[in-house]
Amino acid sequence: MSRVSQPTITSQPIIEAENLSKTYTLRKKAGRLKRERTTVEAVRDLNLSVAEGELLGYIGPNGAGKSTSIKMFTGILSPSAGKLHVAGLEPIRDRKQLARRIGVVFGQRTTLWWDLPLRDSFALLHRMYSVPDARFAANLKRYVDLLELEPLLDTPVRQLSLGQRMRGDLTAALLHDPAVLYLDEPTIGLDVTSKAVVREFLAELNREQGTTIVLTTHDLDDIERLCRRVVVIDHGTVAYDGELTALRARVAPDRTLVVDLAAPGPAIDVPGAKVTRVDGPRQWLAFPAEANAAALVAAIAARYELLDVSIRDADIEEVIRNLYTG
Amino acid sequence: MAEPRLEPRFEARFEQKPPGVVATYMLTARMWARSALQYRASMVLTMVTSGATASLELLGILVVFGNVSSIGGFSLSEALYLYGTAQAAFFTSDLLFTGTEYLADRIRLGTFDSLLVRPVGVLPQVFADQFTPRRLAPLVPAYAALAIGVAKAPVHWTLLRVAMVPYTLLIGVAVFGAVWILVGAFQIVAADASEVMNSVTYGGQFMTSYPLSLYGRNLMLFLTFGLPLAYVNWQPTLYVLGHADPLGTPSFLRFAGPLFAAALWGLALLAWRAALRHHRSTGS
Repeated sequence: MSRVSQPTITSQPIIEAENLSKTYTLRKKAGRLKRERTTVEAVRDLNLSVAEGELLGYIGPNGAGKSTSIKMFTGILSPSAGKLHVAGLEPIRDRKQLARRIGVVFGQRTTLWWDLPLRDSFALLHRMYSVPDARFAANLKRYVDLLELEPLLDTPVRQLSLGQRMRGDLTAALLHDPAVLYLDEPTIGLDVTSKAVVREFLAELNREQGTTIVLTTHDLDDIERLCRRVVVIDHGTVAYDGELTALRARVAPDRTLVVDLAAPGPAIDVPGAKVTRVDGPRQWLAFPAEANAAALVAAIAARYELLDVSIRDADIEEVIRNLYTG
Repeated sequence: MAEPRLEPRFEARFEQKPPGVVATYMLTARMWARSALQYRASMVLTMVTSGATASLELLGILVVFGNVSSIGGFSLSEALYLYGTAQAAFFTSDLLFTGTEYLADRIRLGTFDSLLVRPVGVLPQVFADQFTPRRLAPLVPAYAALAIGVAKAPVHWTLLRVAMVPYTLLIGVAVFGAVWILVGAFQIVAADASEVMNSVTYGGQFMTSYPLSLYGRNLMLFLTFGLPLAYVNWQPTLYVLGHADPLGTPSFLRFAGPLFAAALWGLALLAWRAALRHHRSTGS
């Protein structure tokens, strides 16, 4: 697939990686003068195509190549091999042009000016990204309203809480109306309220402005609440790419049946399920995802007096864990 | 996909010109200066100490000349002129370009990346990094020494000689600026070698402050041709003060400063580009 290098809005993917690879060469001491060269493949033959307007969960264990690939997508690192286009541009060659079309939030590292009021950092970005005045004012008002930043605009960034700062960083990354927003751990260390505000905001941004969002996170709640499509990176390449529900089905971990018996007793003995935990009259049974839950409940009810039952799907954390180990 | 958006993003009709090198530098430096001004007391204190340290060196020269009437053929006022041009050039370059010194820290902390995702040049952002008005303090004794030198040195001031004074400073700032770029390039490649390069820049500053003939012929050759630091003030000063070069280099070399400065900038920019490329391929 050959691509034009003009930043045009088309139906073509906004991020397109073809056999993208990144190899690091490390020199290790081996003896007095000898240096041994070892190569590490941080990313290998990664294929990814993201359509404009998607909200993508980009996950994987530490050191799997997530941040290396994001650094290539944002024009920070050059690929060792393969093709890469973002918004129709080549990230390294067209770095400055690309910068105007993407927004980046590194969760733990703020890009705001530490000692100056929030407002000043925004004013700088206004000039740096040459955002037209009217557009800047409109965007600032909109994000400040949505993220409840109004009372904080004149506060030095160093005095903001983590959640407040994250909302400031989000605004800073969006004032120039980027087509793609990369978020690295945007909810890390945030309290429940801040998390909710940030998540709601991202969903709205994606829905209303069609901003493509690539979300890297360890908080699988983020993924569950926001992303339909999930890409799992493992060992430098795409281990899974598809819908979250399909991921759950594919890895198919056991479901859990929780039963409350009339009286405490020994572990329930029933074919097709295994007791994993007993707590007084309450027992937890694991059974295969594809098994018939109704039949299982009936089988138990036939032999024990049941007060209550509930069934839990495997949570995403378990799904991912199974995928990595599987 | 392809849902209609409520409000189209504006980038499609993006026609504004992005800030150039100077605008980027000014924007960034202003932010840092304002950050520094948040801590006024600390700034005043460090300004006083760094101004005093620089003045002590000046005092040292006066003490030495209290015992001898000339060193290496230079009188006190001539030495002050020489010292003044070197110090003024160095501390002006320090004021403007010394941000490259913080690159190693940025790379270590991972904040260098945030400079790379902005739609402006990397080098002007780096030059302006941690800019602080505090660096104005050592300029006071430097320009004072230069002023005394200009006033008292036995110079027959022709128009050309007068023009040579700002010229000397300009070449000096340019040469030191190129050295700061090399410092930055080096720091990117060896992220924690900040201390090693300090010996190059501050050492160079020390050397150009004293008559070059004190350092012996081989070292002088090295400085004149190996490191063009001599052009910071030695060759132009020989002209202004009407001294013959003890080395006997042809007199046209006294005006070759711009060529050396340009060549050094070319070299430094190449090194900078190579360093950025290296960083991009290693990401260290």
